[in-house]
Amino acid sequence: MSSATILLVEDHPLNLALFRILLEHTGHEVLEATDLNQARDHLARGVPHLALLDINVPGGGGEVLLKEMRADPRFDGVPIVAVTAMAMSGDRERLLAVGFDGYVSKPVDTRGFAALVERFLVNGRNAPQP
Amino acid sequence: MNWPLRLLLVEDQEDDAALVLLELARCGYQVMHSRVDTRAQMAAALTSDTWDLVLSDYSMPSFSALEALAVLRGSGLDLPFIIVSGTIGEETAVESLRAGAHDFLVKDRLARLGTAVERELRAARDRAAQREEERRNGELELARENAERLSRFKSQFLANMSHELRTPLNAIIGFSEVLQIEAIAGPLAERQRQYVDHILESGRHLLRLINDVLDLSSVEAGRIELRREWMAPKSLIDGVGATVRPLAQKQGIVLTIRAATLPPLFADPVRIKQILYNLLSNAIKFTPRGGSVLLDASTDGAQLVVAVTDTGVGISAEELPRLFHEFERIIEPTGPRFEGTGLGLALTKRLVEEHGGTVTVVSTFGQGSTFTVSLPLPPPQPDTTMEALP
Repeated sequence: MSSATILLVEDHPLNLALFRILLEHTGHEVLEATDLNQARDHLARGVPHLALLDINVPGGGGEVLLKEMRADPRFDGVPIVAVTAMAMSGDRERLLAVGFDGYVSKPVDTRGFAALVERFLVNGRNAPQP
Repeated sequence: MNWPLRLLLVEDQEDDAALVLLELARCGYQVMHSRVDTRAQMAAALTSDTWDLVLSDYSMPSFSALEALAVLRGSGLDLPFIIVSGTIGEETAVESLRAGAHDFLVKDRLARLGTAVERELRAARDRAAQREEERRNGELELARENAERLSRFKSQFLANMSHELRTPLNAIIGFSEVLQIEAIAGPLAERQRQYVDHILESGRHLLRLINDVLDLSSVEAGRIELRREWMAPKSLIDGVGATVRPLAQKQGIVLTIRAATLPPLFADPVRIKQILYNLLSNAIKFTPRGGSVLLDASTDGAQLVVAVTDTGVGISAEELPRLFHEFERIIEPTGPRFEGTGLGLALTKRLVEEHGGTVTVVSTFGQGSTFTVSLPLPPPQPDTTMEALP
């Protein structure tokens, strides 16, 4: 996809900067949020093409925002991907089971990260998991 | 018959006491006794000595069986308490049994004393044994709860630590990779490029260490669940071979994979891959340039045997026993330094054992090593296809 709008929820400032650099490098517009309220402000103004959610974020965590977005028909077609440092065995399965469309563990491999973003932008919520 | 009996006798009449003692001696008890007839004396006797039995008169000038029972209850001791009294009414007898007396005897019929004492001593022993068993069960339960709490605490601690280590590592590895993207970071001088490589290499090493530690502690806590499925070992072996081949080429090592047609294996493919990768990358790591590494997979029908042989540095006889221990890295002070977490072989061994297999090593210092993994094959099932098997 040429240029998409991506909601990026990440409370760690350096990781936020890293993901923004990678996403902007591939030509996308990034809506940054370091807590859930900032994310809700972005979502009130428009519908992103993709949401990348950290799980441990202030204000209730990525799973809370996932539930809110899934309850709102405006976001029906928006892929929501967990980008998280929660990477113990079982975390991936648990997060996919609660409804995330994709899962990436930190530290991310930047090439793999870019490829995953493109896959979800092109295929929508049904993008195949690697 | 000479059974020792420590008797506390609550009785004001010395003659009556003598009759009781005589009867007990006749029954074969060797009695050591103390006679008390006040609340204070009884309380003192219960504190200062150990008793098997209390025999008490019903009514005394300055004490009574009911008061004696109260003193006994207050002491917390569970001793058989038998009232030996002159004729009293049925009401009184019932009242004293309700108050905790175990039996009631009339002085004119002391012949019953022996059996009553024997029965109550046995009942008291049974009660004590039951209390002891309950106490032990309680302790076991407590120990089990403690172990569970500790295990939960350890898991939570590891999960937190993993999260806290991965978060900064994301920035370290990520920004190092970004530095290598010229379109983002601009051109790097050769020396800068080299330094970024060092940062990346160390970051990835740290990540492997974190993964290995967490894996190992999961195996130890019995929390690794093997996801067994039917798999073709040959294609899996070839896959791992392809993964490590670039590593071997980079180090100038000849890698040979020799896998005949092998029967299907019922195992966790991710873990089997991890086992083979660990063995092959170890062999390559510890083999000097120009050497060779051979993986030979075969079967004897009962098990799948994978042997990885290298022409590397080898392991001396005194170091062999420590080889599979956590964090044991065999380092020759004068030899070359090898990167590693010290966890790979410990983890490999655990994963093989989780599959019911064994891993052994034969090595000659300076000449090379052979690591052999044996994994049990399921018994042959006639007339079944792979899909039809469980």
